[in-house]
Amino acid sequence: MSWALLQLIARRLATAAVLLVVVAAGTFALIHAAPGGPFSADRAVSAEVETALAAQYRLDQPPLLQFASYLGNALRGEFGPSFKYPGREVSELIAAGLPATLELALYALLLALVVGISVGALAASRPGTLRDRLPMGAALVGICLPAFVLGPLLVLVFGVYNEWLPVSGWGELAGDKLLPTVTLAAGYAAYIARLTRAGLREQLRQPYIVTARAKGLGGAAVILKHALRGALLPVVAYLGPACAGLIAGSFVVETIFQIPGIGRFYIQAAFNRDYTLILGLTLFFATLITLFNLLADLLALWLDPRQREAL
Amino acid sequence: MARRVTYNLPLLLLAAIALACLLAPWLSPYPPAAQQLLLGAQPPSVAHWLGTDIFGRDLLTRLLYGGRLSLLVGLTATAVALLIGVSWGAVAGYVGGRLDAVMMRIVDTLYALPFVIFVVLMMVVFGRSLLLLFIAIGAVEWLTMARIVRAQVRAIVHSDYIEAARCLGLSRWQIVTRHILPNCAGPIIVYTTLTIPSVMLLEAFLSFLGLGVQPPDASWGLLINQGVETMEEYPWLLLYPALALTATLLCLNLVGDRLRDRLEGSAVGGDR
Amino acid sequence: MSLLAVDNLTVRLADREVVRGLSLRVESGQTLAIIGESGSGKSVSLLALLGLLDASAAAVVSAERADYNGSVALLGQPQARRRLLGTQIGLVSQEPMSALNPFQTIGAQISEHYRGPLPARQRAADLLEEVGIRAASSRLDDYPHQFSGGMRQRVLIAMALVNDPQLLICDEPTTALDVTVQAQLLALLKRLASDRKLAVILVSHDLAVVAAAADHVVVMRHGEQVDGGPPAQLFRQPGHPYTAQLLAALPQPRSGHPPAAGRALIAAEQLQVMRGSGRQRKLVVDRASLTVGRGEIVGLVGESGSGKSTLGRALLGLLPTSAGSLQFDGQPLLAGQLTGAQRAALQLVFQDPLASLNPRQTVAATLAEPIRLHGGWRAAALAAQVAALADQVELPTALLTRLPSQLSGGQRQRVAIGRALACRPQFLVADEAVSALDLSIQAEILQLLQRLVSDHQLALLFISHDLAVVRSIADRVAVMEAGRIVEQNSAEQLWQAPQHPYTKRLLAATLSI
Repeated sequence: MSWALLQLIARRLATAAVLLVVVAAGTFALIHAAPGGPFSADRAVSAEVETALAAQYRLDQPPLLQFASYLGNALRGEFGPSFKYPGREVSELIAAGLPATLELALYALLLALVVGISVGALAASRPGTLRDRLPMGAALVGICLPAFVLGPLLVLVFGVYNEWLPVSGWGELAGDKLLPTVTLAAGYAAYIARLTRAGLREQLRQPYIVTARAKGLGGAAVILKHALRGALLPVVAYLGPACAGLIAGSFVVETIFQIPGIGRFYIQAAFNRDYTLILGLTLFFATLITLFNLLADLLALWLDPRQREAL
Repeated sequence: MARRVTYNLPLLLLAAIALACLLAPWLSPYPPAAQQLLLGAQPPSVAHWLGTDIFGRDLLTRLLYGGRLSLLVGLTATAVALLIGVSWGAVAGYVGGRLDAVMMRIVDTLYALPFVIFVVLMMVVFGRSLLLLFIAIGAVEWLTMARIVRAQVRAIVHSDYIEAARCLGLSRWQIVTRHILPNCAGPIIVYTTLTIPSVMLLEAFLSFLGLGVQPPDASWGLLINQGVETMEEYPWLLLYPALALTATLLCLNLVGDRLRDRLEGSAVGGDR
Repeated sequence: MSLLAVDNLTVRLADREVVRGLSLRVESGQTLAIIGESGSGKSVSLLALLGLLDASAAAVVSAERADYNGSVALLGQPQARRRLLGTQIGLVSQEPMSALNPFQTIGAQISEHYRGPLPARQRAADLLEEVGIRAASSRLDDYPHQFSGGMRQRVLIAMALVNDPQLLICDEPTTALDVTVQAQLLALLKRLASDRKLAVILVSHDLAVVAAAADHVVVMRHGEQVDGGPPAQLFRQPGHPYTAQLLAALPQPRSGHPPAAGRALIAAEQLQVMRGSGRQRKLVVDRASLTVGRGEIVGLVGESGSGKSTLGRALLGLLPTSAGSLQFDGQPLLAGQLTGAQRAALQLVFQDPLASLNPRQTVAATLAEPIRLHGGWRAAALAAQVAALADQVELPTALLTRLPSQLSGGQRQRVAIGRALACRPQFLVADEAVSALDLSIQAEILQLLQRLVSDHQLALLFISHDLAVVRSIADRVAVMEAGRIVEQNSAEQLWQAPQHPYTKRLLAATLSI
C-alpha cells in the first residue's frame, strides 16, 4: 500500500462523494418537479404518512434547506417513510430486500466470471477449431438472449413442462436459486467469454509470448502464467458496467421469479409512484455502483504494473 | 457462390426482417390493434400463421408492427448516440490537452452512473412518452461512441501523416475532413452496427418492465412481456416475439462482428 | 561433431515457400551469423526449427536432417525439442521493448524455468550481475518498463542463460539500440561465448555487426542460402554477386571536397525548444545554433532522446521555440505565423514511410494534394504534374493508383519524398529517412536525395543515428547530446579529428567492415 495508491483512493472517494451529491440533487429536483410527488400540494397520501412526510422533508422550508436536510438524513442511512407503504421506512424496506438481491447478483457475477473466463480461455487456445467456434457461437447467442427472454424460457422448460426446478422465491425451496442465477448470469458469461478470448488472442500475438515459449513452457502454462493476466484487463474494466447491468438485470429477474429483493421493489415503486422509495433506492444503487467501479480500478492497478507506475 | 450466400446470410435476413416490418400495412390483411375478443388466443393456423393473442389479434401482424417500432427506436436512438458521440469524441481527440482531459473525465463520470435507473426514473416522473424514450436511450449509448471516436482521432492526430499534412500547409478543416474523418469511418461504422442491437435491447428491456412503449402500440419487448403472462397456456405468444428479437439482435451482431474483423484484417494486412 | 546440424531445411507458410534448402552447422564456442534483408527467411528458419512459429501460421517444416548434439532430431521429436528449449537452447528475441512480459517482475521472469540447485532469486541476481546490470539484487522486483532498451536486452540475455544452455540464438539483438549500447552488448555476447564455451547463432541485417561478432557467416536471400564463409574472407572476396551487391550498398565515406557553403538559407541562433505540458514540460533543445545553405547537406547525429528530431521540426516552423532566433532566407520564422510560401518551402521526410502516408489515399492523390494546395493547377495539368513528380523520384507510373499498403518500403519513401517535392521546397529535413529501409534500398534513396539536392539546390538537414550513413552523404555534421550541439565540423574533419569526448565515444563505438 503505497502513498500514491492511498492518494488515488482518497481522490476517487472524494470524486465519488461529489458525484453522489450531484446524483442526489438531480433526483431530488426531478421528484420535486413531478406532479403528485411528495413536494407538490396535491399529493394523495394517508394522514399518517402526511405528518411523517412533513417532519422528514421539512416541507415548511425552502427547497434548498429541504435538500440539505434530506442529504443529512441520507448520510445517516435514513431515507424517510415510504410514500405508499404506510408506517414503513425506506431504509427498512431496503434492508429487507437487500440480502436476496446481493446474493443473487453475487452468485450471478461469480458464475459469469468462472464460466466466461474458462470458456474464453479454452476457445482462445485453439482458434478456428470446433473448440473455439462452438462456445463462441453460443456466446454470441447468449448476448442476444436477454434475461427477460431467457428467464421465461427456462421457467417454461424446467418449471412448467418438466417441473424439475422451483420457479419462484428465493431460499424457500431447494434449488430455487438456480434458475434466477443462471438467467442473470448468462448474458454476462457470454460477454466475458468474448472479452477473454479477444484479450487472449491479442496477448498471444505479443513478442513476449515467444520468449515464454522459448523457455520450454507448454501451451497451457503460457496462457495461464503469461497471457491471461494481460487478457483479463478488459474483463476487469468491464466489471463496473457489469455491476450496473446486474442491478438492472435484477429488476427483471426478481420480477420473473418473484424474488423479494430491492430490484423488484424498485419496479413496484416506479409503478406505484412511491417517490421516497425511488429516491432512496436510486441513491443506494448509485453508491453501490460507484464503490464497485473503485474496486474494479484497484483490481486493474493490482494486475497491471504499468498503470501503477503512472500514478 | 453458396459460400457467399452463407456468409451474407445475417445481412440478407436482416434486410428481409426490416423490409417486412416496413411494409407491414401492405403485407398483412389484419389491423394491428383492433380486438376480436370472440376469436381469443388461437394457435398458429393457415389464416393466422403465428396464431392470435388473447384479444384475437393476429400475432404476425402485431410482430411486424412491433418490429417497426423496435427498429425505429433502434435507428433513431443510435442516430442520437452517433451525433453526440462522434462530435464529442472528435472535438476531445482533435483539440487534446486540457479540454480533452475535462471532456473525457465527464464521460468517465457518466459511465459510472446507473443510467438504466435514471431512465426508469424519468419514465416515472415525466410519464411514458416515446420521444423521451429515444432521447433517454440515445443519451446513454453515446458514451462508448465518444470513447471510441476520441481514441481513434487521438491516434490519427499523432500519426506521421497528419504531421506531414500540417507540414504541407493544409488547414485544420482540410486535415479533419480529408485525413482524419475518412480514417475514423471504419470504427464508427462498426460501432454503429453494434449500437443498434444494444439500443434495441434497452428498449425491449424497458418495454418488458412496462416502462417503455405502451399498449395498444406494440414493440417486441412489450409483446414478450404480454407473452410471459400467458406463456403456460399460449406458449407461441412468448416464443415468436422472443425469436424475432433474438434473431434480429443476432444478425446485427454478426454483421457488426464481420465488419470489425474485415476492418482489423485489412489494417493488419496493411502493416505487412 | 557439430552442436547443431541442419541439412536442406524447407519452411512453407500458408502455401508459400519462405525458406528453401538451408543448411547450417554450429560448433561449440563459435558464433554463426545469418545475414539477409527483410523477408529473406533468416528469423523464420530458426523459429521453425525450434517450433516457435505461431500455430495460426500453419507452418510446414521439413529437413533432411536437423539434429541437436547428434542425439535429438528437432523436427521429429517435438517433446524432446521442447525439453531442450530453455535448458540447452536459449533464445534472445528481437524487440527488447516487447519481448519481456510487462506484468511480471524481471526476477520472476528470469528464474521462471530455472532447474538448478541455487535459490531462484540468488540465481537471477547472479545472472543479472553477469550481463552487467549494476546493483542486480535490488532490481529483481522491478518491472520491464522500468528498464531502458539496452538494459532490457541484457535482461533477455540473462533469462536465456538461466539453465546454462550450450546454444544461444540471438535474433537481431542490437537492432533499434544506440551505437554505444550496441557496442557494449556485442562485447558482452563475445565475452559470454568465450567464458561459457557457448555456440551462438546471430541473426542480423547489419553487415558491420556480423563482421565484428561472427566466426562464420551465412548469407540468405529470398529464403535461400546464397553465400557463406568466415567474414574476413567473405567480405573481401564475396562468392556470390548478391554479397558483392550488399557490400557495394554499404554507405561509403564521401569523397571530394564539400562545396563552398553559400549564404545560409536557414539559420538558428541559440535556439531553445520545450516539449510536453504541465509538470512534464522540459527543455529538449538547449541553445542550439545551426545553419544550412543552399545545395548543402548537413548531417545531424545523436542517440535516441538527444533532441535531434525536435530540433529538425523546430527548424521547419512546426514547433514553437522558447528562446533564440530562427531565420529563413533572411526573414524571421515564427511557428504558427508562417506565410503560405514559407510553409511550402520547408518540408519534412519521415523515418517510417508507411506511417507518414494516409492509408486511404492512393499515390496519385497523395502527390496531387500539395500541388493543388500550392499550385492551383487544373485537372489536366494536375495529372501531368503528378506524373512528372513520380518521374523525379523514379517511381513507375503504374504505381500511381496503388495504396501505401500495396507498396514496398522503398517505393513508399519515394512517394513521401515526392510529396515533399511537390511543394517546391527549398529546405528539406530528412528525419531518419533511410533507417527503416534495407541496405540496397537505403543506398538508392540516399542517391536520390543527393541528386535532388544538387538538381534543385535544396538545403538538406539529414538526421540519423547511423554515423556511417551520415558520413556517406553529409558535407557538414553536427553532433547532438542531451539537447545541445556539442560539436560541428565538416564531415572529413569530424571523422579525422573529433574534438568533443562524446563525439569520440560515438565514433569509437561505430562498427565498420
